[in-house]
Amino acid sequence: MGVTPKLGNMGVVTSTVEEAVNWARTGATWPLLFGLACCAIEYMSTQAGNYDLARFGMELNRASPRQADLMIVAGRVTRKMAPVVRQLYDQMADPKWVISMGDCASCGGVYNNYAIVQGVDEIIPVDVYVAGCPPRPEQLMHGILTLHEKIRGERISDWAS
Amino acid sequence: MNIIKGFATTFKHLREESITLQYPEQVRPFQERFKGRHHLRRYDNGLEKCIGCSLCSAACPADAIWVEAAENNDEQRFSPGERYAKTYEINMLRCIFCGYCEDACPTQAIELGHEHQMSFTDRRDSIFTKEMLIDAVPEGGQPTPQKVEAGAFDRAIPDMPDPK
Amino acid sequence: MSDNMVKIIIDDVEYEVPAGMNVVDAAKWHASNDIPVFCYHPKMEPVGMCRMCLVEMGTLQRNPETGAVMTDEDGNPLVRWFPKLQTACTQVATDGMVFRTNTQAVVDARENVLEFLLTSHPLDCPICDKGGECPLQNLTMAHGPGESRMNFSDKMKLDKHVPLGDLIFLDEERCIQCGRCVRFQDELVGDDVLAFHERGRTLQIITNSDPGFDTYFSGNTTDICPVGALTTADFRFGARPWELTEVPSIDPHDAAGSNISLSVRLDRDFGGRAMIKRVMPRQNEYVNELWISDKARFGHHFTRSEDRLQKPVVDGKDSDWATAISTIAGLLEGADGDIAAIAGSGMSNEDLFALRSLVTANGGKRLGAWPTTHTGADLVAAVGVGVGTNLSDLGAGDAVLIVASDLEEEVPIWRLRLKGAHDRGAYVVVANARKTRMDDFASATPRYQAGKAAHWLDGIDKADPEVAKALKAAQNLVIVAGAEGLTLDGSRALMQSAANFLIDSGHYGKANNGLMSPLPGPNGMGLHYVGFTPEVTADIAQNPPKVLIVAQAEILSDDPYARAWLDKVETIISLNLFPDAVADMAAIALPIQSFAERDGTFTNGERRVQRFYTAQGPMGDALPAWQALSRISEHMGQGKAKASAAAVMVMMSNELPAFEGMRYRELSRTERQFPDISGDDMYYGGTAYQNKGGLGKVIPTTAEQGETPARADVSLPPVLEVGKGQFVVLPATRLYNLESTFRPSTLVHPRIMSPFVEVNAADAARLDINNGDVVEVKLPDVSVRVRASVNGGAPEGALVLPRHLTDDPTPMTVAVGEIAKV
Repeated sequence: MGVTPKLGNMGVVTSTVEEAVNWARTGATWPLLFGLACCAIEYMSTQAGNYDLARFGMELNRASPRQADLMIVAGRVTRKMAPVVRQLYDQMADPKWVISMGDCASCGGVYNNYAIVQGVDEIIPVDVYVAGCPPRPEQLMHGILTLHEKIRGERISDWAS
Repeated sequence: MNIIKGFATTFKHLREESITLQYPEQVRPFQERFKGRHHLRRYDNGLEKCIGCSLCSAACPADAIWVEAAENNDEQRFSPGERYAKTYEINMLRCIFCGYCEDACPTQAIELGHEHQMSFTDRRDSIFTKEMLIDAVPEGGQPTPQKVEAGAFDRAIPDMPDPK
Repeated sequence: MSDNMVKIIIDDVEYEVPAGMNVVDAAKWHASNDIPVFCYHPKMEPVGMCRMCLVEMGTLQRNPETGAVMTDEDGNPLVRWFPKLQTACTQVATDGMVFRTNTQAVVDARENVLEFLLTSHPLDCPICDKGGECPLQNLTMAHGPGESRMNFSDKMKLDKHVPLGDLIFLDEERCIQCGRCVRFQDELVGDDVLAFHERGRTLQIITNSDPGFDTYFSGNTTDICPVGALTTADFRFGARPWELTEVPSIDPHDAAGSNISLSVRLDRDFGGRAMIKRVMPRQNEYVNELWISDKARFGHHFTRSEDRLQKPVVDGKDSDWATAISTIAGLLEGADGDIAAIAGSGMSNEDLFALRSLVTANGGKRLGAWPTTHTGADLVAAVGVGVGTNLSDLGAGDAVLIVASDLEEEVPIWRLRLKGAHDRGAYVVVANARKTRMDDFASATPRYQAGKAAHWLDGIDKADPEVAKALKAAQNLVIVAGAEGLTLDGSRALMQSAANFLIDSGHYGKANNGLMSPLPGPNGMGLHYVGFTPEVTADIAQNPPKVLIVAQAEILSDDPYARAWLDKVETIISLNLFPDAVADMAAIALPIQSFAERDGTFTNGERRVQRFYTAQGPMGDALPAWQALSRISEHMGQGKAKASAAAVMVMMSNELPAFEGMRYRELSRTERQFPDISGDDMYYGGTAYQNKGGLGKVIPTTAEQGETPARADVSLPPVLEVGKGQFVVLPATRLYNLESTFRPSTLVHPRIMSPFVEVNAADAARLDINNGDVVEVKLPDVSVRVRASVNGGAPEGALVLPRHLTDDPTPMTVAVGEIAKV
C-alpha cells in the first residue's frame, strides 16, 4: 500500500522495476533447510543431481531462517511442531513465501486426528499447495514454477504491505 | 600424484553427459502403473461409466472423494445404470493417489492417469469437479444427459462392457 | 423354576425360557444365538417360508416309567433327533427341546438356502439403497457360499422400478418373496393393500388398492424388507447407509411422540450443513415399538424449507438479534404487565418454560395454549394412563374406548397399536358421530348425534348400557377421548365425563388404565404441565392484551375467526418457523429453530417426556426458542441467559413439580427391549434402529402420587341449534394436510386429498348433490368452495369438513352452516 502513494504514478518506471525485482526474486529463492516427514525425502531428491534445483537458483538451502526466502513445509505438521514452524516463519525476512508440500501439510491428509495440524495454513499463510503423497520431484518443481508465476505477478504496491 | 588422480576423476566426469532432467521441458517417462490424477471414463456411446455408488468414497482412506447420486431417467440419462453421480468431487490435496477407488469401482469408471502436475495457489482450486474429471465424449458418442428410448437400459448396474 | 418357564438346550447349553416363546426369539434373547432369518419377524406370526432358520431339533429321551431323562454311559442326555432339519421360527419352546445350530448339516443348509436365493438375485449391491445394511448381504457374508455356481448374466430379468404407490418403489428382481411386507400390512396394520401375484419364480408383490399402497404405514415395509426390493421415494439414492449419522429424535407431528432416528449427512445441496436424508424408526416398545407413520417418515422437509424465516424481522424489515431483543425488551417494559402468550404445541418443554418465565417475570399472567380445540389435559395429568403403560399389553379381558376421535388421522401409531389390542382380544369401542377407519377394528361402534359426544358419554349407562357394562367390567380400561365435533366447552365436558367414568369404575392410577387424548401436535401435554391452557387462550381472545407473544401458534391459518380479536392486540411478537400471517401482523417476528436443529424434550400424549437431539445444520439466524426468550430475559435483567437446553431443564425441574427429577441424563437412559433388534444384525427386526437416545420418563399421574381424583360435575354444552336447511359442520383432521409443517413435503402432495366436504347420501339426494360436485359451504362469516364427497362418511344432517386442506382456514370447532351446489 505504502509505496505507490509516496511515489505517485510513475507508470513505466514502476512496471519495469516490478519486472526486474520479480525476475531477480524468482532467480534466487533460497529455501529453508527444513523437513518434517516423508515429503522431505522427495524434497532431498529434488535437490540432488537428477532434478537439480540449482537450475532455479535454489541450490542453497539455508539453515538459518534469516537467510531464507522460501519455506517448503515438507511433511505433516504435528501440533507439537506447529509453534516451531510458526516461529521459523516469523524469523524469516520479507519477502518470504511458503510452499505446502504434499497432502499432510496441505490438509492433514490421511492423518485426520488430534495430533496433526489439519493444514499448515492454519498457522502460516501458504502461497502454493502441492498435491501428492508424497509429491514426486516433478510435482514439487511444478509447485516451485507455480510460485514463480505468482511472484512474477506481484505488484510494487504489495511489497510494502 | 594424488592431485592428478583427483583431477583425472573430475575431468572424466566432465566429459560425461549430464544426468539432470530439464524439467519442465523434459519429462521423465512414467511407469505404466504410476498413479496420477483421476479420470472418469465414458462408454463409447458417451454415457458415463460412473453409477454414483459411492464405493470409491467408502474405500478412500483420506476421505477425498465426495459423491452425491441421483436417479437416471430415459429423458435425461447420464449412465446406463439406475443412478448416476450428480456430484463427483475429488479433493486433490487430500487424495494420496493410492488407487483404492480404482479397485473399488464396480464399473471401472474411475481410473488414475499419469497427470501429476497439480499445484494450486488457492486451496479451493484443489477440488476437482465432475466436469474436470470426466473424459471428453468419444467420437461417435453423444454428450450426457442423453435422451434414450424407453426401456433401452433396464439394469441397475450395466452388465454390458460397452453399451451401444 | 416358575410354572411358565421351561428348559431347552441350545448347542449343549441349558436355558430357562418362557414356555411358548418362539425358538428364534428365545435363542436370541436368552442364548445370544442369532439364528438367521429372512421371513420371520418378531412382531409377526411365523410362516417358515424362507427356510433360513433351519436347525437340528430333537427331544430328550425320557424313561417312560419314571419320566427321568435317560443318559448314555458318559452321563450325557439321550436325544431323539428329528430326521430332518426343522425351521426354528415355527417352533415354540416346550420342556426338553434340544437344538443344535452349529453342526455341519445346519451350516450346509444355510449355505444352500442362500445359494438358492442368490441364483436370481441381481448383483445391485453397489447402487442398492439397502446395500450396507442389507440382511441378505450380511447373511451371505456370514453363512453364504464363497462363490456362485450360477451364470451372472443368466439371471431373471424383471421390472426394476415398479411404483407401488407414490411413496414406495418395488424392484421385482431383488424381492426374495419372504412376504414380510404383505404380512405387515395384513396382520399389523389391517390395511390389506399388498398381495402376492402369480406363483413360483414369477411371484411378485402387487398392490390392490387405488391409489396404490394406500396406507399410512407403508414406509415400515421398507424397514422390514430383508433386501432392497422396497425403497422409499424420499430416500431413493439419497446416500449410502455408511455415510449417515443416526441422531435420535422425536416425531414432531402427533401426540404419540414416536421415537425416530434422523439419518443425517453433510450435504452439498444444503450448503455443506448436516441435512436429514431420511427418517427411520427407533425402537421404543412403550411408545411406537418399531413402527412410525408415513407422516413421521416423509414429513421432515419443513425443517429445511427455503420458506423458513431466517432473520429476525423488526417492523417489516430484516434485522438482527440485538436489535430485535432490545426492541422487544422496550415493548415488554412499556406494557405495564399487560402481557400474554399463546404457544403452540410444536414448542419444546424448555421453550415453553422460557416463555413462561419471560411472561411472568414481566407481570403477565395469561398463558394460552393453541389450538383451542382440545382441552382436559389437566384430567389426563390426573387420571391418565399409569406409569408403565404399554398399549401392547392390552389384550383379552381389557377394554379401550375411543370417543370423538378419528384416531387413524390424528395419531396413526395409537391406531396401529390399539388395532393390535383388538386382535389380541381386547374389547375396543369406537364411539363417534360418523364412521371412522378405527370402526374396522372395533368390537362395538356406538353412534351419537353430531356434536353430542359429551352427552353420550355422560349418559352412556342409558344410551348404551351393554357397552358401559363391558367397559366397567374390563380388567384394564383405556379411554382415548378426542374433541371431534365439539367446542372447547364440549371437549371439557367430554374429558370430564371420561374422567368420571374412569373414577367410577376404578380404572385409574395404575398401568394400562386411564385417560389419553390425541392432543394436536407433539407437546400437547407439555403445554399443560408448563401452565398453558386453551381456556386462557379463549380469555385472551375475549380481552386482548397490550402485548401478545405468539409462539409457534399459526393462529390465522388455523382459525378463520381469529383475525377479529387479533386485530385488537396492540403489539404482537411472533416466534415461528415460517413467516405466517401472524408474523406479518407482528411488530417483531423471530425465527426459531425446528425440532431437528436443536436439543429439547417433548411430552407425549402418554405423558412421557422424551429427548430429541441436534441433527440438522441451522437455518439462517434462527435460534432455539428457549435461547431467544432467555436472551430477552437477560437483556431485561431477569437472570442470565441459559447456555443449553439441559440447563433450562434443570431449572424447570426445580420449579415445576411435574418435571421433578427430569434430568437429561435420566431421559437418555435405555434398557434392553424385546425384541432385541438391530444389534449386530439387521435381519431380525429390520432397519428400525436400536434406541440409543433414551426411552424417556413418564410423569406420574396425580392419582399415582396419592391424590384421590375427585369426580366433578359435567357441565354439558348447549346443543347446537340447527335451523331448517342447515347442517352441523364437523371439522375433521386429515393426517396429510397443508399445515406449514407438512406442506413442504411435496413428495406426499399427491396423497393429500383435494379439499372436500363429506355429505350424507340422503342429504345429498335431497339437495341434488352428486359425488364430486363443487359445493359452497357457508358458515358464519366464512365460506369455502370444495368438492362434495358422498361416500357414507357423514351422518344425516351433518357435514364433515376436513381442516387444513384449503389455503384459507375452515372452522376449528363444530359450527352450523349451509351447503349449496355451485
